[in-house]
Amino acid sequence: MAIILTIEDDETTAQEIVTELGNHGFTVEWARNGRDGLARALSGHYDLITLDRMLPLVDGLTIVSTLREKNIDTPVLMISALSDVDERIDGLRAGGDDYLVKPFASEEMAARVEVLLRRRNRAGRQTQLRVADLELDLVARQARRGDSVLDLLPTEFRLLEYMMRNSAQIITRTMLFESVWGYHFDPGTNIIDVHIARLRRKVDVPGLSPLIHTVRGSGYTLDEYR
Amino acid sequence: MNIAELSRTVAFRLTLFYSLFFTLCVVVLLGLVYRQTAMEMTRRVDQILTLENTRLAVVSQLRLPDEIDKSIQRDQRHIYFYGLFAPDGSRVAGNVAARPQGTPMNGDIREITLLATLAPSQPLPARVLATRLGSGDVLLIGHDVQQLIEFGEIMRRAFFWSGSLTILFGVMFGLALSFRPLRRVEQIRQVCELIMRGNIRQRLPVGKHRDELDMLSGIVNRMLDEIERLMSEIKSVGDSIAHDLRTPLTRLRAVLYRMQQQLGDSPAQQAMAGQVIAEVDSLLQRFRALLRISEIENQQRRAGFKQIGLREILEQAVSFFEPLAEDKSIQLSMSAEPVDTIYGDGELLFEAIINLLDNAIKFTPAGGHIRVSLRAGRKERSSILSTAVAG
Repeated sequence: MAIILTIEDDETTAQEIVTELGNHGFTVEWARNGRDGLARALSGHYDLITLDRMLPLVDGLTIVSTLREKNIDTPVLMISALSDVDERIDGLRAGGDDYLVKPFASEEMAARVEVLLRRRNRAGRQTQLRVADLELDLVARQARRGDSVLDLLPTEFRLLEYMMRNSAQIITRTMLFESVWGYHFDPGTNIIDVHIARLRRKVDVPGLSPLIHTVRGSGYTLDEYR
Repeated sequence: MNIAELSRTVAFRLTLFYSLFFTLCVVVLLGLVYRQTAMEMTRRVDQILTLENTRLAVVSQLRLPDEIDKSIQRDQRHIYFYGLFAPDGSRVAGNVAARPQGTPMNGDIREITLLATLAPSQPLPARVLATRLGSGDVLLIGHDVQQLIEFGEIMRRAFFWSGSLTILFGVMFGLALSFRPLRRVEQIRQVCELIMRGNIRQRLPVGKHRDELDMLSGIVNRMLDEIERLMSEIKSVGDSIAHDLRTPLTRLRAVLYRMQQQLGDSPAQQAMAGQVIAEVDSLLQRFRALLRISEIENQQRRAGFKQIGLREILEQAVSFFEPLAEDKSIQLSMSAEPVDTIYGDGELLFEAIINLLDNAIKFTPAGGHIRVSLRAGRKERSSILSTAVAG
């Protein structure tokens, strides 16, 4: 199972991260300051790093840019109390892979960690995605369920693509909004649910076993077994 | 600014008041000069009349007509009148045609009109002294006062012209003086309009002259500073409450979530836990929205600024809402003219449009119609976005 390094100076937050990721079956190591964190991160034997933006001794941005300079491409999830878009842009520019604003729901954090890990393990560019009898041809931009072609709108196609790329993982509404629409604020309505409901009507036609599942309190998952 | 506005200014009223006051002073001054001059002239005339009367009174009755004729001949300017009348009123000598009625014979001087023998049809104004001589005859000596009357006429004309010109100049000067303060007031009005629209950082213009308007503007500006400070204090209190509550709420949610996962498969308990989490979520959502507002207001976010196509953003937003509108059987249509790209923050713009559409959908009944349109504004590089709701 993956080994994760958590660099976080706030003990409560760190505890929350360690517990939640532990629940998901990850091995978590905790570094409580920037210098220690950087030293460990430079060893390069972690699968992922959760990194606080503001740290004593060495700042989060410095850590991530140092790692990238040394060609260490461990995925980094930046966690920060600064929700400013400029801050987010700075964090991502420095080499962070995702950005989460404090305070966060722990399952959101875990979901993002899983997506980052999955993205990393994906070998090369895929042209076809497959979950059970659902197929997505990224080149022909066509979706099939069994023998029938699904008539999807562009937005629905992107939704389905994201969910299939991260199948069997919990995907939160915020993650969907960020990746499909490309915006980083909370749309604050049940609109994502409406979009999913639509997609569901097309993908999970009566008679077939459903693939899209609601995860209560968190979001959705696309999976064969549930 | 129009005449009515100009005429209401303090400057105009003061100028008008001063010019009226000045006119009054001129009138009083001229009046005094006239009165003094007229009195002096009358006094001299009266003195001459008295002297002449004294001279003629001692001339014997027989020689009096001759003496009168001689006096008339000496008077080359024709300003003296002499008359000697018999007790029955008939003329004995002199250049006065008839004895005027109602002249006291006791030596008092009166101003009356006389008829001269040279021009008997034209009554002439004169000061007249009449005495009854020992013989019973009446001796009348007069002095033409036409000059005095003409002098008065000149004075009256001077009153009129100086008065009306002073008032006219006063009005014009007042209007000219009112122009600057009114322009200042107009500037102040424009700034106040901006402030009322929520741009509390604006300040009234303060000039170099330190005049009363500048002093007032200074006072108002100090007041605005204070209001701005208080507003930001209130806002930061609200923000910090939202901020402080957000962390424990998030922790609460985390604990609830963990509890839910350990609950097992009892559907009733799961549903209850789900409901509690949903409530916490909506609380968090409220706080996030509150903080979002101040975040947007406070930050000078320029990093997100770039050239953006309004039309693309609008299309995205409309397609984002289409399923929801469809579910509510609301027709959502969009029309867009080609417009210039704008330099801005696409994310904020999208958020704004989403809020607009969200409200439109919330308040449109089923079967209604929402029309979103984008068209080029009248001004260069401006665009108008409008949503119309029907039904």
